[in-house]
Amino acid sequence: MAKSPVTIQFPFGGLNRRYGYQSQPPYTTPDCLNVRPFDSIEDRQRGGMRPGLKKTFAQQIGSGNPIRMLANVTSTSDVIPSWTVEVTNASDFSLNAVFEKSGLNLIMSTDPVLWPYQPEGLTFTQTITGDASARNIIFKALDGFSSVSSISIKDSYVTTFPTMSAFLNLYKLDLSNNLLTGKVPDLSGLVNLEELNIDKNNMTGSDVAIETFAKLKKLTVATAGSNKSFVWSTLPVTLTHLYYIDTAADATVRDINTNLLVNLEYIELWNNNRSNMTNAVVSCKYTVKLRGYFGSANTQADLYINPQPTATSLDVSYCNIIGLGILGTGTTVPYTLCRDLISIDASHNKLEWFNPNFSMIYSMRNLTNLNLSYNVIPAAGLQQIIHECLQNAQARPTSGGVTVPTCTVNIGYGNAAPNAATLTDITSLRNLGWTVIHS
Amino acid sequence: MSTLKRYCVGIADGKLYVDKTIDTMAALVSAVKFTDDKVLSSAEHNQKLYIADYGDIVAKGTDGTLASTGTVLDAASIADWTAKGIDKGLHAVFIYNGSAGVATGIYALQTVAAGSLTLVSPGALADGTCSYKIFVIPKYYDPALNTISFWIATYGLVPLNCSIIARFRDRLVLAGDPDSPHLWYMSRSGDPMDWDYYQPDVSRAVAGQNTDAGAIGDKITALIPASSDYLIFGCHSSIWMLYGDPAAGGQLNNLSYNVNVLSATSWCYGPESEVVFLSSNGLYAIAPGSVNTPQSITENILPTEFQNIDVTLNDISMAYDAKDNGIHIFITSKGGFDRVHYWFDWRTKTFWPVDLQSDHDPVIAMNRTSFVGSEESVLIGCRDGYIRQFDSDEVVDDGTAITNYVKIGPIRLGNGYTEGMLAELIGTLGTGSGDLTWEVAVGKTVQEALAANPLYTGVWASGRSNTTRPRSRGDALMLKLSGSSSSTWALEDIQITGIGKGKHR
Repeated sequence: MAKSPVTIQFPFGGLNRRYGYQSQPPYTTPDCLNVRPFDSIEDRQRGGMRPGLKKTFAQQIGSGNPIRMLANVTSTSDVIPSWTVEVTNASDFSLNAVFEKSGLNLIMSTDPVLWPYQPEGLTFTQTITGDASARNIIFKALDGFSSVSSISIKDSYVTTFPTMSAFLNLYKLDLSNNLLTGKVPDLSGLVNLEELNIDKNNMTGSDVAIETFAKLKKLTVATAGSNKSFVWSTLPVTLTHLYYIDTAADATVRDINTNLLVNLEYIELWNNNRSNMTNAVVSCKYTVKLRGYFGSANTQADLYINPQPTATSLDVSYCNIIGLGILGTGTTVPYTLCRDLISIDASHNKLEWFNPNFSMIYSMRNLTNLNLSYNVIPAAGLQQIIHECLQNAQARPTSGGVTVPTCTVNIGYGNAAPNAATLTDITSLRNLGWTVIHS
Repeated sequence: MSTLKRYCVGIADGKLYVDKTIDTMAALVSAVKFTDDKVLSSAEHNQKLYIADYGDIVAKGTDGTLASTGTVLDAASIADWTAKGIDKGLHAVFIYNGSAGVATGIYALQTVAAGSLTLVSPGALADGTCSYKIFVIPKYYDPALNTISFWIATYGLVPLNCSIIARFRDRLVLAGDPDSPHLWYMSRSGDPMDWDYYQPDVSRAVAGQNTDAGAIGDKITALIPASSDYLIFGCHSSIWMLYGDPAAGGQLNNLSYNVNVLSATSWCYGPESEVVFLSSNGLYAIAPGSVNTPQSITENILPTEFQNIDVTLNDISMAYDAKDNGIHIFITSKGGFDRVHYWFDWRTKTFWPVDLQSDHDPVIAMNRTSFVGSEESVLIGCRDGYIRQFDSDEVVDDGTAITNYVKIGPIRLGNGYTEGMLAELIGTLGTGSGDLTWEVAVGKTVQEALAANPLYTGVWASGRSNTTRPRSRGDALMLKLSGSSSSTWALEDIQITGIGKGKHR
């Protein structure tokens, strides 16, 4: 080494252990700890110690146990200072009144001890009157009724239907899971209401036709064990989504005429103890769920469905039916009627037959799930079903000898054992990529 | 008037903490609990934080019997439900394969008694028989209500026991179910409460796997949304990318059959939306865009340091630090053993080992994007229950001195045939720098010099030092610089003078 000064800088190339010791690349280091190329004093690239640690929060959380998750969450509070909420006897701290405006949530309360969170700047009042069992919410507004587009008061033990007539621009009203009784009051002032949810209450019906709500598109009326014997005389033709579910212990017949619901896209009618399917669902565009629609006490023999050609999903499990068919199509079913059906669940019934001559299966070229398990279909019926499936598969386009898309067919559990002809067809189906489950 | 707030949420010891009051993390009073022995993933959706809580299935069977209109569950195979460790704040019950009238579903528990479980009303709707699983249910936190709730779907069922979660195209995506580790599940677009896969529209819930036709998919280890256009599936031994929406013409392509992603938290975004992740074979990056494949960052720098890290023994977390322009790579031993973490300086694309005292080792890290500028930082959730952050004003680690050094060299004093001697040494530190201790070690080889005891040592202070003459003879010279325990330092440069000393002795 010549006797001349050499300038050496911090090894900005960092730790490098890729090469031999004798071949350590220039400007790298074979060993370092807790240093960085940019110093902490002026953030210049000259080398220095890394920054130290400090506590972000003074609190030790989890009693000194390791922290298992960190996350950010953003919340928007859209404050409506002109609102007043009056609550009588809010002794139950679980009472929540959530006001939604343009999709934003607010909790309104004057008592942060009883209520979990109080946004800043909100002006409202709370009064407590009445006996211990009464829990009513009354809306009072200084102004701004018409600015509210959505109200949700759920899970709140509310017993009296709030006065809503001034909410001229309300499009969504959710009063689910309260203690509402009696009948839905006249809400004809809510001319812009599109969604109504009175799920999980103890209401018995309505004095006014629901068609009063000219724009109503989505209706959730009842779920299990609540809103017993609820009857709404007619339903509006504008309705697109109907959730009408009931498992009342009594055998009250609840006919729902959906014949005229030409815009219906989705319907769930579960466990309603219907005694027959007169005027049953005929117009649902996409999804039909009738699971347990007849209830176990039903003696109805056959069920006919007449979905629109666009229907994609049919669930008639637990309906206690003996036969399932397509209404009004005779013994042949136009291909166009079932072309979009991708799933049929008719399991857990007493099915003996599945449409006269089973030709409907052949038409369902997009079917990917056919569940007929837990029925009593005889061997001859199974033979026809599987044969129709095979013809269906053979009519579908293939790729490498396998039909596209393939389908899962479940004829196991309860049904008769397949005969030799059926087993032959099952083998052919499986060779085309279909899955067949049988007893 | 509208206000916008971003809260910091942490989970430790099964409780959720949030900074509703600035600079204060307070526990949320709730009966709902979280798993306390595993790192949890979360995803924000529409002002709520969905947490993929998971754990062991504490009880399951096919011999369930339902009574009291489907609200009371018992099973002959379970003599005492209270001996199963069931916690109604942590667990829920999945009822399925029920007899006629029994509604398949996930139900919260009202009470846990020795003889039976009582489901929250209305329960499974009917008496009968059923199969059941008691499992840790995922939850969600609502900052507006300041409440934690069980994540129970309105339609369909939220997938059980998934440990990985992400948000992609307004859907929540879940994966990591140990019973089906190859499957991913997506909620309806815009509705995390809708898991009905049988709807006809393009927004419907979707489930699938990542594989070429005819094969079972690889085990999913990470869900990495790369903008709204791509979702990267990090897998056990491969990486896949979903382009677009799976229900609306999306396509799934393989990015690598060899490179993997170690865990759900072993990745982060770079400053230009690169995805940087740790694999079994080192650190990789995927540039933004639909056609880019993983590129190794460490292969030519640190070929072994990041290889084959056992995720069952270590918690791995990564976060990009916008303030200091680099990536923290934390590898923390679950057993409390000492492990080296790394800082990847993004400006120089270089690696720098980091050592923290055991209590400060990060179990989880997060890039905090607060709306308050001074709060921008990478937060680390430490082993001792404190949340900490790096701060350039801090010269110690929360009271603990930082051992720091760098070895500069090898400086070749000879030329292979002859040796040389270090004659003079001058160090220049930045104004305001703390002291820096230097040590000189020499050897006949670089490896010897690295391991050799120092021949000379001294201390440089701020500014230019006096000339020292640490006359050290050898072929290779290593210069070690160590900072003091109470100050930080900055090195400007070093001047050395050497002279030739003839053939090797």
